[in-house]
Amino acid sequence: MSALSRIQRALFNGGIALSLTATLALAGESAANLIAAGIPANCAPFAAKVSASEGNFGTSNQFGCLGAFQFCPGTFERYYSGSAQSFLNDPRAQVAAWTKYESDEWSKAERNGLTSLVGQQVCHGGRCATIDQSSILFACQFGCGKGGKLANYAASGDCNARNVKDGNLVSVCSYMIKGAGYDASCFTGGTSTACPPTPSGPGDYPTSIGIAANPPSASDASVVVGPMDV
Amino acid sequence: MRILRSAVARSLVSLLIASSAAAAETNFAFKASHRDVTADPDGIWAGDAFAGGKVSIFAYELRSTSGTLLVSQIWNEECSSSVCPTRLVRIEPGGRRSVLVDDMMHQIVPPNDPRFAGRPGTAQQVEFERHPFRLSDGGKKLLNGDFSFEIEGSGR
Repeated sequence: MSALSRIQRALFNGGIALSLTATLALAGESAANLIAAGIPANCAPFAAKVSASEGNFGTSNQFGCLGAFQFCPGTFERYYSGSAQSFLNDPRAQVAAWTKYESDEWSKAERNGLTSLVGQQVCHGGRCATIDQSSILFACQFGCGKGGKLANYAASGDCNARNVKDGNLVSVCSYMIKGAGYDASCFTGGTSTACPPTPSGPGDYPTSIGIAANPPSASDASVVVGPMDV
Repeated sequence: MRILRSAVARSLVSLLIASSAAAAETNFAFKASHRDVTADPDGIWAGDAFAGGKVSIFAYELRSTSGTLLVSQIWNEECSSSVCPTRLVRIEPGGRRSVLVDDMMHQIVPPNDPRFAGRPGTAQQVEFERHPFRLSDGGKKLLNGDFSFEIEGSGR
């Protein structure tokens, strides 16, 4: 093997190792792992989306934030009473703490009027999305308080204002767009607003999905509603 | 008169920051933590900051002959899972204060917190734990981990 090909091979292997390391570091927990730790299946894709930008059950980041959802010290002490190491070793405790945290964030968003953004269109960086419950919760990573980035956006509607960006100049709008389209009803206490079917007229509801797609026969049904009963 | 006052204030900020930046230590040093309080002993936070009840406040400082720069982080209802309201305040020798940065910053790791004790940390983690705030760019920026904030009135 020539010196040149040895160097090429070393660089190639190094590249693979580097890519793999980066993937592992940023992968987050899978929906299956999160379900096993206690997340309801319908909300697991949203939890996995959050975890993907945070960490894994056993990891802590450079700022001392812990686990699959990166609970930083202040949040950690509010939602968990044991040591940092016991938290890292306990996926169920992480899921329980995060579920409570997300519910609290949703309540906070409601109190601060931020949920009124649901249904609005947001566009940023060449991408658009309709804001839904999961958008709000995802963006709450920037703070859902009265002085948070989402509140600043709600006040101005400007995705490029400095006060809607974090210390890396990332806009809260990019988080709303990234987080859109997931079922977050486990944390909001309501029905999912992700991709709701859009009736095109009065009484015109899609029959290709849900129970309407597979209605029971009259003999199987416990309640039979005739046309004149409605 | 107003323009003159503004110019003087700007010069004072520049002087304070320049002397801080010129000092050997540009890291802020831990000053104090106030746990479960309903008022801020340093007087940086008031009113709505305490709306949710008891809070914790952590202060870091950088002293120079022309005054003190104080970073104060409050753990209250405004925090998200990773960031909390944080202010950089200039305190002149006469006691006059002005807020230079007011933003959401990475939560600090409380010094000597037994819950984090004994955990192996990377060099980066240890450094952030010791020095979560520092000045850079000739005193024109406040750094907090990977976050960077322009300092008001620093001449930029």
